[in-house]
Amino acid sequence: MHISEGVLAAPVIIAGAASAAAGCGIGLRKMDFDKTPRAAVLASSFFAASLIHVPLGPTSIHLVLNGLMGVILGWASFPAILVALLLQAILLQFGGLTTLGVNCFAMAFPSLLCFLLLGPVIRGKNDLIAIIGAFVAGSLGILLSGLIIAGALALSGEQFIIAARLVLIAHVPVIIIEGFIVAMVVAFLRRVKPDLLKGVT
Amino acid sequence: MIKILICIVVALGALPLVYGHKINMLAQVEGSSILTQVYFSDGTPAKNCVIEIYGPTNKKISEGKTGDNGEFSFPITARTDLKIIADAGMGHRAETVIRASDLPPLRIDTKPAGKTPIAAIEPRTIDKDTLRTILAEILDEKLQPIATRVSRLEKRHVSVTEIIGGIGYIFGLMGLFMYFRRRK
Repeated sequence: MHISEGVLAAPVIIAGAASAAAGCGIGLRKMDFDKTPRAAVLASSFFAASLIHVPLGPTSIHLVLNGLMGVILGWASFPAILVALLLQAILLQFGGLTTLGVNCFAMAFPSLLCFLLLGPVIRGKNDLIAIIGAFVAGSLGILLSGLIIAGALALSGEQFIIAARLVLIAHVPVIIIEGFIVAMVVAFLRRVKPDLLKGVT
Repeated sequence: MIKILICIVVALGALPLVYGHKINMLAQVEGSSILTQVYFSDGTPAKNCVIEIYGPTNKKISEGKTGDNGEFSFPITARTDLKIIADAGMGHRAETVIRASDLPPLRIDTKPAGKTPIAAIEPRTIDKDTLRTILAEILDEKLQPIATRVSRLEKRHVSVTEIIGGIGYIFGLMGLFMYFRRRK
């Protein structure tokens, strides 16, 4: 899910950077002293998850966890994802510095949408509905990221349908697995620490 | 706290599978052609990856696709700087530059080897070009194992140290952020 340097057109890079900067600004303002550690924990998970590849059939997959970040962090997903991506770019040459904004937006914006759309469902009274909502959040995070990435590539010359199909086919297993992961985490947190599901608002 | 533990357990459980998902490209001169190898950072070859070769003025010289083994080889047609770009789609891209000085001089075989019986040539009359050709062949042969080893070393894997280092940075930044938040 990382777009490398030199693939995107300049307007796409600028638009991505501006959106990511706006998101990070709001996220940082909303992230107070008490909520910073959880952002750091999730940023670390995100950082490590994209580096850990699990072989699956002919390819290998890695988790993105942006749905999970959205559910727990809300707006603070933006700065958390930015920091993780920045370190991946600097330390491991994953993605790139110029595409940082686009990559950040592509992963953090779906997180935010998951939080805004599905947050109320996940915090709701009914356990089953909440867990289904969590599954949808996990899947939706990846799905939207894939579409945004495909869109960014399309705006830079690749054909949208082809790019989108490639990106989505590659991520079908992850879409399902992350759904289960977020469902499990939410089921667990609802019992143990429901506070965490309130997000950073 | 429990969450942190979960993260650590998940991360540790998957450590043997630590790989990155980006493409790497190696390009090396082999005789009178250039061999490019494209692979994902877990070492699997990138098949059907588009390779484009650009000359000094960003003019496309040629292009091709990697085969099942992720390799693509093309002949050296001119002794100039070459930029090789590999694009595996989905935003995965890598590029390498080969300097003109790294390319071998173009060999023009005026006298096909073997036609002149070696015994007929006096040792002193071996001309410079023949000598150069012979030396180049021997050197290629001798350096092959080293080149292979270097290319293997260049295949960079994500190490555990780097992941732990990155996580350390994140917590360092967290500390910094919290410090400034508290002072306000």
